[in-house]
Amino acid sequence: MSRYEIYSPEGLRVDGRRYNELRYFKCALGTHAHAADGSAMVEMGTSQVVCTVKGPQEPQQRSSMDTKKAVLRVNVHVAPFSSITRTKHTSNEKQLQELSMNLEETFADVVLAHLAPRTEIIVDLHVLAQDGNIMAGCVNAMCLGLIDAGVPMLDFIASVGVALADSVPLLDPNHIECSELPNLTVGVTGKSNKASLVIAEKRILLDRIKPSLDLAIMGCKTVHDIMDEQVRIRLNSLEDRIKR
Amino acid sequence: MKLSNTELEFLRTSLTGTPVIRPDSRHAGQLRPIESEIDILPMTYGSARVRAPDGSDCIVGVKAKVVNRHDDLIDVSVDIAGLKDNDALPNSLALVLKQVLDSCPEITNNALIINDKYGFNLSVDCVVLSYSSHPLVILSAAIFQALKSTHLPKQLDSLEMDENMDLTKTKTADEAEIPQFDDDWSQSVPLCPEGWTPPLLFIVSAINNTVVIDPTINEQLVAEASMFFTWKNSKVSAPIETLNTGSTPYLGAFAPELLLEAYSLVENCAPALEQSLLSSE
Repeated sequence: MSRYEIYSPEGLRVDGRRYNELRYFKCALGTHAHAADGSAMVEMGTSQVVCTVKGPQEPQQRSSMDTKKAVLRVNVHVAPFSSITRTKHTSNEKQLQELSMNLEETFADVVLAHLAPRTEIIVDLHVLAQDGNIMAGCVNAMCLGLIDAGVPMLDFIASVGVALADSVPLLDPNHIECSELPNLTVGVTGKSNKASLVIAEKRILLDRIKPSLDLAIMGCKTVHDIMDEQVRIRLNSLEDRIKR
Repeated sequence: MKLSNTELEFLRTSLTGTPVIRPDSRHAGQLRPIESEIDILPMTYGSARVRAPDGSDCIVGVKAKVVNRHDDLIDVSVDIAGLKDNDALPNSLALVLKQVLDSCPEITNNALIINDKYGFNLSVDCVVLSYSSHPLVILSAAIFQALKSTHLPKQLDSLEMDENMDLTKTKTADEAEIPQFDDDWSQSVPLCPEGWTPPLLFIVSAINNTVVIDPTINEQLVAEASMFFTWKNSKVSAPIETLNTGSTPYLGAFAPELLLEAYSLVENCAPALEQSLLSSE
C-alpha cells in the first residue's frame, strides 16, 4: 500500500493537480548558442533537460556514414545530481541506451534525413533534474533542439506522460506517481491525433489504453502550442538580428 | 579547426614579439570574459553554470549526504559530453579538482564535520556541455560559484532532547548520536565560512620567452608547455602542475624564469576574477 493518497475521492493528486492538468511547462531555444548548432532547454515541473545538437556535419567516423541519408545519433547523459539521492549513471547503462534508441527511432520519422546524405546529426541530451519519467522531457527538448539547429523536419513531436490510477488516467505524472503507477509516454506529431510514440512501463489493461491515449494526445497538443510559441519567439529574435 | 603550419608559425611569431599580440586582442595577463549563474538546479544544495564566449559551457551541482565520518569527505566527478566515461581527460580533471578541494581545511575540517561520528559527504558533480580550450579554468570557476551557493541544513541542538542524560560523562565516538536537522531551508547555513572563498585554477602557457594566461585552444597548440596554478586564500599555492594539452609541434619545457612571470600574471588577475565572481551573487 502506498504512503501517499495518489488520487483522492475529491479528484486531487499528490501535488494538488486535477487528473488533466499539466505541470508547469517552460521551454526555450538557443540557450547554448555558442556551444552547438542548435540548443534548447525544457522544464516540466522540476524536471529539466538540456539538448545540444551538432550537425548536419561531416561524420567523425567514416564507418557510421550513410550515402542515402543523414545519420541521427542520440546520446543521453543523466547528471549524478539529477535525482533526489545522488546516483552516478554511466552512458552504457541499458536504460539510457534503450532511451536513446527509442529517441532515434521516433525522430527518424519526422526528420527529413534524405536531404542531407553523408552527414551525421549528433544530439546530446543532458538530464539535469528528473522528476518522474524523463522520456517526455527528452523528446520535447530534442524536438526544439533539432528545430533550432535548422534540421529540416516534417513537424513537431510533442510528448507527455500518463499514469493510470486504477481506471483514471493522470496527465504528466511526477516521480511519486511514476514510481507507484503503471505509466505511458506518448508522443504526437504536429497537430494530428496520431501517436507516433507510445511506450508503456509495466502492464496496462487493454480497455484502459484508449482513455489514457486520449488524455495524453490532449496534453501533447497543449505542449505543442507552448513549444510552437517559443519557436516563433526565437524566429522573430533571429529575424530582428538580421534586419539590424 | 586544424591550423596549417604557416598559420601556426604566424600565431607563434605574433605571440612571441613585443608587444605580445594575441588573436583575440587580449593582454598577456588578461582572462576571457565568463558568464555565470547560480542556484539553477532544484535538486541540489548548490549549483552553478558558467559559460565562456568560445562556447565552453559547464554546469556544476553539489549534493551532500550524512555518512560515518572518515577522511575522504569530498567526491568530485567530471562528465564531458562526447567523451567516453573511461576517457583520460574527465578522470584526470576530476582527480586534480578533488586534490584541490581536499586541501581546503576550511571546509573538510569545518563545515563538513557534524560530530565525532558523522560527517557530510560532499559530491561535486560537473557536467561539461561543450568546450574548446582546456575546460579546467571554467570548471574551477563553476565549482567556485557552486560551493559559494551551497547551503547545508542547520543542525538542531541535541542537548534539549536528553536532559536526563549524565552530562558529566563525556561521550565516546561510538555514542555520538544521529544528527537531527532543521527542516526549514531558510535556516540553512552556507558551506563556505564567512570571508573564505573556494580555490580558483588558472592555466598559463609558455611560448618561447613569453607567458600568456588563459590560453585559447590555438595558443595552446603553439605553446611549449602549459601549467595550472591554484589560487587559494589570496595567494598562489599548491597544486601547481604541468598540464597535458595534447601533442604540439613545439613541445618543450617551462623555463624557471618564466615560472616567476607566470606567478605574477596569476597574482595580478586572480583577485579581480574572485571579486567579480563574488559580486555576481
